[in-house]
Amino acid sequence: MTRFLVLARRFGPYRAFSDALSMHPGLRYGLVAVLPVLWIVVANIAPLARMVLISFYESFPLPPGETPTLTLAQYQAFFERPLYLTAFARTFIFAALATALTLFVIFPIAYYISKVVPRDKRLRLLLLAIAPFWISEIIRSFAWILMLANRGAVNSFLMWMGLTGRPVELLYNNISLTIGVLYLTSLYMLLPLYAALEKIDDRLIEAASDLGALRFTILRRIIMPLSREGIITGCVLVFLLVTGLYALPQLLGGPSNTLFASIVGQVFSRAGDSWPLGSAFSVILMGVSLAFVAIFMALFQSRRTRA
Amino acid sequence: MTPSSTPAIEVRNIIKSFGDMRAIDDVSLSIAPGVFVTLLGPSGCGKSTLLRTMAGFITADSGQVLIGGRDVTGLPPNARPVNMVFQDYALFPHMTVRGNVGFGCEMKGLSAQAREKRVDELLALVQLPELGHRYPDELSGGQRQRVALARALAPDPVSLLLDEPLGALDLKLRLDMQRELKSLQRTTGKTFVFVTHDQEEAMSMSDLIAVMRAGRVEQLDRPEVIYERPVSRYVAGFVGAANLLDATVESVDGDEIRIVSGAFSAVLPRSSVTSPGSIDRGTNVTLLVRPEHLRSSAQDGHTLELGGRITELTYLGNRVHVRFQTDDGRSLLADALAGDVAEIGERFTAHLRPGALALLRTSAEEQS
Amino acid sequence: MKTLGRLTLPVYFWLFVAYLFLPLLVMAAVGFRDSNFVAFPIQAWTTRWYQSVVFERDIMSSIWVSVKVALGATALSLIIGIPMAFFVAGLRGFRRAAMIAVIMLPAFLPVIVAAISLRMFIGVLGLQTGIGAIIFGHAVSTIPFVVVMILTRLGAMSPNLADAARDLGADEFIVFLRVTLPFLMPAIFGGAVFSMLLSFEDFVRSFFLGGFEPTFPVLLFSKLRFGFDPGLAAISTMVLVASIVIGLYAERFSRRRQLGNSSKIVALDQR
Repeated sequence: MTRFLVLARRFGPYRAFSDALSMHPGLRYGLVAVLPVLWIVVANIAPLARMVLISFYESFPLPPGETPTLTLAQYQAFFERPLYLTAFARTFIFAALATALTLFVIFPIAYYISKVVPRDKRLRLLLLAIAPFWISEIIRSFAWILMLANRGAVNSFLMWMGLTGRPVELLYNNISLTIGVLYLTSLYMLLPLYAALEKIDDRLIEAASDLGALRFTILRRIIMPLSREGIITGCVLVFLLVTGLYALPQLLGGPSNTLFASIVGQVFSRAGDSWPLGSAFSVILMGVSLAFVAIFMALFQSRRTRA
Repeated sequence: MTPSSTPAIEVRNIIKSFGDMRAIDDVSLSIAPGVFVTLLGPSGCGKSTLLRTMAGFITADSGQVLIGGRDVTGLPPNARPVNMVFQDYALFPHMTVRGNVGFGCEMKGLSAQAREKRVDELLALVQLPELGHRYPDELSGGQRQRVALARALAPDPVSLLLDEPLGALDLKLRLDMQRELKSLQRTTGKTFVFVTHDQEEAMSMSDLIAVMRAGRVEQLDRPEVIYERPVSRYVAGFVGAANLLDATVESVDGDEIRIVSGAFSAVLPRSSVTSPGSIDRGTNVTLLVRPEHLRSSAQDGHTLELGGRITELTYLGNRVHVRFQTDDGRSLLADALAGDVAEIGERFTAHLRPGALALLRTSAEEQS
Repeated sequence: MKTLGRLTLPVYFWLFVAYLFLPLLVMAAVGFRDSNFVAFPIQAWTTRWYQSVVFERDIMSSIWVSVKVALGATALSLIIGIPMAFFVAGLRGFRRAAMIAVIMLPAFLPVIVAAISLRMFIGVLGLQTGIGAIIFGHAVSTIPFVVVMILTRLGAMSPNLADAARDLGADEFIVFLRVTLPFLMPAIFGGAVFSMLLSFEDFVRSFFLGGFEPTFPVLLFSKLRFGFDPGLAAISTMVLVASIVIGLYAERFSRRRQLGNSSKIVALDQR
């Protein structure tokens, strides 16, 4: 290959072209930038712009020859049905609770791997803790169905132990939903927390305990502030993941805890003029989630993390 | 170095700006074949920019670059017959030492056989014949340095451009490599253009030194001339230790110049003046007194004296560095024989020979 | 008391690991159950589910669809992601931050929103729902990760490396093929495996962008809503093992390639 390219330099036009590239970094950069810029416009911006536009249409597709009229009717529909509003509110409350729970459960794990375990074993334990995350959400939901079903592993075990006479309702309710969601969100919390905690100099902790700080004080005054970046990143990732959850709640949750993403999907897939309404719901979901994240980050990130 | 021979590298009126900053300000240089030239100056003086302009990585705003008499101004780096040794060596980490050294020959389209032969020659030249199969990350700093040299020499360039290549080495290794670089330059007979901010490095290796300042070449000459007869206060201060005394010309009488500096006055021959421009009555001048010019004992011709109280002594084996304060409040450094010096706080008298001193015009911006 | 305190964290950690792996082990075990429906305890064991499921047409064709999609999405995300990393690397300051934000956007959107917006957009590109649309949708979501991985590696590359090659006579194409690309290889490899796994496990985008041929997760989803048999557990287990093995291997490979340089130097200096 190289040999061929070296020989190609004897060919005048090729040589002129490659010399021009060598001499003008701007030209080089321009050529490299064409494809990415095109992609960013087509794949990252245009679909969202189109979705926002469609959300203001009365119907879609437009009848031929008709000019589209813009309307807020789709957004009004959202506020008129209590079903939508409750699901929406429930989703954000649930997302906030799930984020807090994940942080609470995962922080000790991240701390253990990054600060307690000897350095050479850290990577192995980290990989052990993140291995299940290479698996599809659907397979993981399936595994939990097998665990929690009436004739599933947990109930069978409980009955075998004689702790209960008949199966306990574990599936299709808040318990199963929470267990399943935590199973999905752990990684997104673990990796940022681990990365942040790993960076904290162990000597800081030693210095603090030398100065007589209690464990809780060390945690609150030294470790938490220094891992703030990781906590924020983890919380943002988990929060956004939960607000967009679609499949897992349908498999593990019950009818009384439908999340908003499922409703968006249902509305969108309904026959007839469903795109404008689905778009409006998507815009609301996207806007409110990103606004939540922005407020959250503004609240916690503005303070300086490092002295 | 006859005037008729074509210079290995020549730059003419190079100007290069980055934004508002003029990195190279109308530089012209002509470097004869087989010479070891050093571009010396503090960081930001434009020395690396000038080197990169020669290599072709930077296109000058105006001016010309000629290599072996051929105008290469419009040519990309890959078409210029010069090769560079980088500060971080920039060895290709995914290629073996042989792969690295042979890369240039490969680009020239040499046959595999010819290439292997050339690689063997160069590995022998840099004394690493048995390490050809290693990867760069399996080498020590000094070994990497040699591979970088071999790689740059392999395509048989007109000149080697070296961008602070010794900066990453520790002191001892650096001294060894200085010697080796110099001998490598002699054996290959190639023109070396070497960039450094280290004046000792420049003094010990170079045939010629170009002292640069703010995008200009302040002085281009042999190391001893740069040291003994600097053209400006800047050069005098940059190369070697120096006592720089502000003085005023009191009178000019034929070949004799009388200067006054505080309580000290002297009559110097006109040949002491090393900077361009005229010296008249009232001109602000700087008297350059190297520490070794200040002798603890008077000998023939040491007709001048400077005295003061010793404030600091630094013993260096048989010699001692004496810092003393003159009665009019100036702090001077002298290089004396260890036996000749008393204690801190006592008086010290230094003797000088007028002919050894250099007299410089003080430019407006240097006046304190 | 002190030992108790010291034991709390390890015990908690291993309980967490049990929480992660127990359901998967149960699922693997269900696949060995000698019965047509799922229940516990497992009294009779058989390997027939693991054997027979491989011959189930709809499952195998869905896996084939998933593989095609994963390969296509990976190829596309490399074709776009590599130049995009160079594009970002050339930006500074605010422009760089803004561009990274726009590039990362698809990774941060609620998944359902990303899926629906793409579903409504593919028509503009002349795409029908189906494999092509899924590949496009997956590439949109994996490119941010590919770009970040390559950008990180690119940051570790001395700009002198490319200049050294130019200086020795290489033109831009040779510089790219012989120096830049090999240097980026660990990151490209890592990004490729990551894209592949991400694409293979995706459900929501495949669900909304898919046509009549479902990917494996989509097929599994629809089957799970109507009940399941040990065969589904068996095939899920096989897919799971393959995913974990590939994921771990890629992790090890790219980590070793990236750490290799510095650790060796340390070892040499100590000699």
